[in-house]
Amino acid sequence: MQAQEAERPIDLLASGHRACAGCGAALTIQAILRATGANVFVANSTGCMEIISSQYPQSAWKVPWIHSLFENAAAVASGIEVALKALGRDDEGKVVVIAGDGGTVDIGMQAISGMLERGHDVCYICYDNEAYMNTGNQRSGSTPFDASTTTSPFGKKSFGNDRPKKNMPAIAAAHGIAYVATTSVGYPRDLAKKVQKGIAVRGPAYLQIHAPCNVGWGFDSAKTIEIARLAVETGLWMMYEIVDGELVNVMKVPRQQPVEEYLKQQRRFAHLFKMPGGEAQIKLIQDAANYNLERYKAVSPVGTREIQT
Amino acid sequence: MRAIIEGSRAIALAVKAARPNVVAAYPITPQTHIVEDISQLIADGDLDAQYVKVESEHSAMSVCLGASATGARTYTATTSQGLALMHEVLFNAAGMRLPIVMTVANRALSAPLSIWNDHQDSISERDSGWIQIYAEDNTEASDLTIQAYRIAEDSRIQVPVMVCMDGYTLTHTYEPVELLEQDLVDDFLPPYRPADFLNVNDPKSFGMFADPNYYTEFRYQNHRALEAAKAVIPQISSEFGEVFDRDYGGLIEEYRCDDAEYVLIAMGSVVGTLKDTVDDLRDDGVRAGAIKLRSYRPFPVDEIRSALAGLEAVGILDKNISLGFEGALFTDVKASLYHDDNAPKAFGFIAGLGGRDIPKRMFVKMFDCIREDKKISNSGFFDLNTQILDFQEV
Amino acid sequence: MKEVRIHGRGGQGSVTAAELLAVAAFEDGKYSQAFPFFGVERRGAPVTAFTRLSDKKIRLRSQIYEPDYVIVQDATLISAVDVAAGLKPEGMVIVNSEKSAEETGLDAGIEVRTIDATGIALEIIGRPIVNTTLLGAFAGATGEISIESIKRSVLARFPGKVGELNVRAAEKAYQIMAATERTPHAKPGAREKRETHEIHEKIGTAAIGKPGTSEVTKTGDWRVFYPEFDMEQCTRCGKCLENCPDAAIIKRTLSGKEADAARKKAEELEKAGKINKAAVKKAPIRYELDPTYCKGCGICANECPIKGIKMKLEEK
Repeated sequence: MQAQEAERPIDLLASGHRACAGCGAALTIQAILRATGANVFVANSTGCMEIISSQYPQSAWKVPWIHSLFENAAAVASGIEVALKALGRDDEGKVVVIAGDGGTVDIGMQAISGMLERGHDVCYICYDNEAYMNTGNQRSGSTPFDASTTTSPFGKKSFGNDRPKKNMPAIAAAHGIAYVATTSVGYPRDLAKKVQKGIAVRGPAYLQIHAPCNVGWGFDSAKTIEIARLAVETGLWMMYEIVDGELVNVMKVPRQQPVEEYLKQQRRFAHLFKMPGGEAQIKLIQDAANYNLERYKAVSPVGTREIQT
Repeated sequence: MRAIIEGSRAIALAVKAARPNVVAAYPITPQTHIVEDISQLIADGDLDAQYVKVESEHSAMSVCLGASATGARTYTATTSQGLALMHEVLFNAAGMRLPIVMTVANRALSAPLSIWNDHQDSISERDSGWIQIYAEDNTEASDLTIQAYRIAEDSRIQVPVMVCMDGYTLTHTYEPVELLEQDLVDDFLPPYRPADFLNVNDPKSFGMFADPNYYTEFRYQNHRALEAAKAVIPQISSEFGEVFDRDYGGLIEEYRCDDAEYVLIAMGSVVGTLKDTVDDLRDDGVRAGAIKLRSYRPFPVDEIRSALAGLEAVGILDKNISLGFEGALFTDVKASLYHDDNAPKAFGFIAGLGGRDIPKRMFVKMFDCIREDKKISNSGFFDLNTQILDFQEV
Repeated sequence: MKEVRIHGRGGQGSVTAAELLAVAAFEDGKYSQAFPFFGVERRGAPVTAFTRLSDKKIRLRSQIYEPDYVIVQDATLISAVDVAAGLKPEGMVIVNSEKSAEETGLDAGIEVRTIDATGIALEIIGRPIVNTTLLGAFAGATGEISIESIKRSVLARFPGKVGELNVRAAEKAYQIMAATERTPHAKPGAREKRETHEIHEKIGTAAIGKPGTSEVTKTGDWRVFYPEFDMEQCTRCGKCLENCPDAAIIKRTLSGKEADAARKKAEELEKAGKINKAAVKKAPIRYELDPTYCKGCGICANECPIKGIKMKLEEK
């Protein structure tokens, strides 16, 4: 190794951004950009990561970056991609979308579907922190079952969010795109490998990265990685690739942790341990985790089994 | 060179002559012929551009926005519901100061659904920060398309431009059109070379948010750019005139206004009918005149004031309405005259909504109204069929 | 009417403090109004909240420019924000600090009262949540509001044990402050005008930013705890650096005499059986904190495989 004065990490998301201490999404972006390197165009949807990085005149981005609106990042990225082609600049770099789960599985769905179907050479990356965190933890289509958010609060007649997470990777894969993957900020090497695969694919790729939010989920800021890994170890977040429509490289969970280990550390699930009937709900979540592990060994990635309440 | 072609075809050929890098559009009546013709030009290799067949108008404008920020010249076309769906992206593109050019094939807004022409769609985007210019005929619409790129890309302006042409009335009408010679267009409109664009060698951040310390100043600059366009639009028009021998003048066109006592103001294709009506009235000894409002935003306050100075009365035709108040042009024209002691009397007419035709006799009636200082009934709705109304007066 | 401005950092409960104060004043039979400066700030970034207290209905809706009282929840804000801006000549600034008023760095012409609210909160509540403690201090120092109303307002918001602990912390701060007389300063209003928020750079045509310019924001100010690295035990795995959301850990490779010294020390440790041979080789590699940006989240400490990083309370 060359001796040198100070070696900073490749921080293409510069210090001084205003993400909360211990932010899983900011860490995700650091990891994404470390994997892509500097030759990348980022289209960012409205959300936490846009807000914490782009208060005029201070930008945390060291790569060309654009934010337009909430739901149109995939379309803006399509525009960048065709412009680079039209201007003969398509060797300059890959176009990447970075968007939150709300901007992806809810309001951005139509533009994403269009982008995937049209076959743009764009790698779409969703950092999934499982609710609208930018506006203060409201429920999204990616909020997990029984999580209490400000718009799916627990109460006398509610255990929190009454629906399972939307299976966006399966929806992306249904477009017949060459590469779909899920990964987690808790597994930086897996994340890097998948980002690199996603940008190496010619044509659209879709990645969803589980990125815990300590403020919204309610856990100590030091535990972002720990929580991310627990989601995988319990079977609540599956890590896999769908290459040319085939489910491959499912990350095996050798010693499955009980879901309580994951749930009990988070305020959003704390009511399940206090409310009458909470135990049965935890059982449902355990069943879902078990089923996840079972079904992802199977060939077909499509089809969600709903949690019965 | 002159050829008899459909209005939409004229626009497609003008777009081809402007050499856009990226076209993104979603089909909607009555814009479809324009984008179909552009698609064919690309399919035949006559236009070298990326055409993105987007899944919505929201994405059409978003693709243009991303492409424009990357340094591409971009084009789209839409109308009515499509324009309404673009609403938030329109404001965004203007605030990001991206010189996108769009044809709006003007059409009414639902409900009830109407595929026919009025100006409610573009008027409803009044405050989006786009320059809006309205064409009277297909040659003007075609020529404006080229001029729009010069205006939008001018370093003093950097604001997107809508070229508004009446749906069906122009888009689907065959008439002789002065075609644009490619070599002359190339001289008039050089390739787009923005100072800032998305670029890995100089990685800037586009579309940042501004806190209360900055937002007002960005809005001010954006506003001033539209005001600056009041000088730039006529300049570019006259430059265009030198090259192509067709000068449309400035922000307004005055027709037989010199010694006029009574003038009607209108926008778009109906101005042709209005000019014919003025000629008829002149033959009958009535000192009538017409004003074609070409630029709706920026609004030509000074030009309107000076054109109306000394008149007895002015009528304003609105093919739109701000429900609960009055026609948008009527409001703006009156506001322009507020500081003039001898301002003419002003009469507002709502007509031509949802494709209702405006024949010459309707203009004659409007002139009768303003000449005889008649009280305007029915809230200014001029061509109302009162027999089919089911409205209870309170 | 009395106007109170609260300066804190995101996550410290400044907005809650403003609201609790307003509720307490209402309990005292007054009119009150509490509102935040709506920003986009995340945990740790400077935030401002306002409270007005009056005997009459309050119609004023502007921010507070000439406060009677300022509460500073975090003393590190004093160098970043002009916390005393517009303070009335007879006004008072209450600062959460273990230091004396003179040591806060605020102008001598201002009446400053300090209280170690962090210490009290850690002792009683067990977490460095200082907003309720400071409300007790406010009641004690100003007499504008009764401590009983503060307590009621805290308990209404935080029922149960959490509320009781907060009430105890507030009570303690109240006692400390009430026990000391106000000492009006000698020369009211004599202070230099500071221009921390002045903007001099011209804006562009559009809101386009230059790369990495966020680095002017020193997010290290947000920190409550900081990581301390045990370089003797460090295996140089790099997990701390990899898992820092703020790129605030620097890898440094020593050269020359510094490298020799590091190697020599490592060899001694190896002889003592404390580290292995591989570690000696890596001795010149150092992982260091960049205190300018570290927000003190603690991920590095949590993820360090040898638990060689300890989180320490930042002295403020």
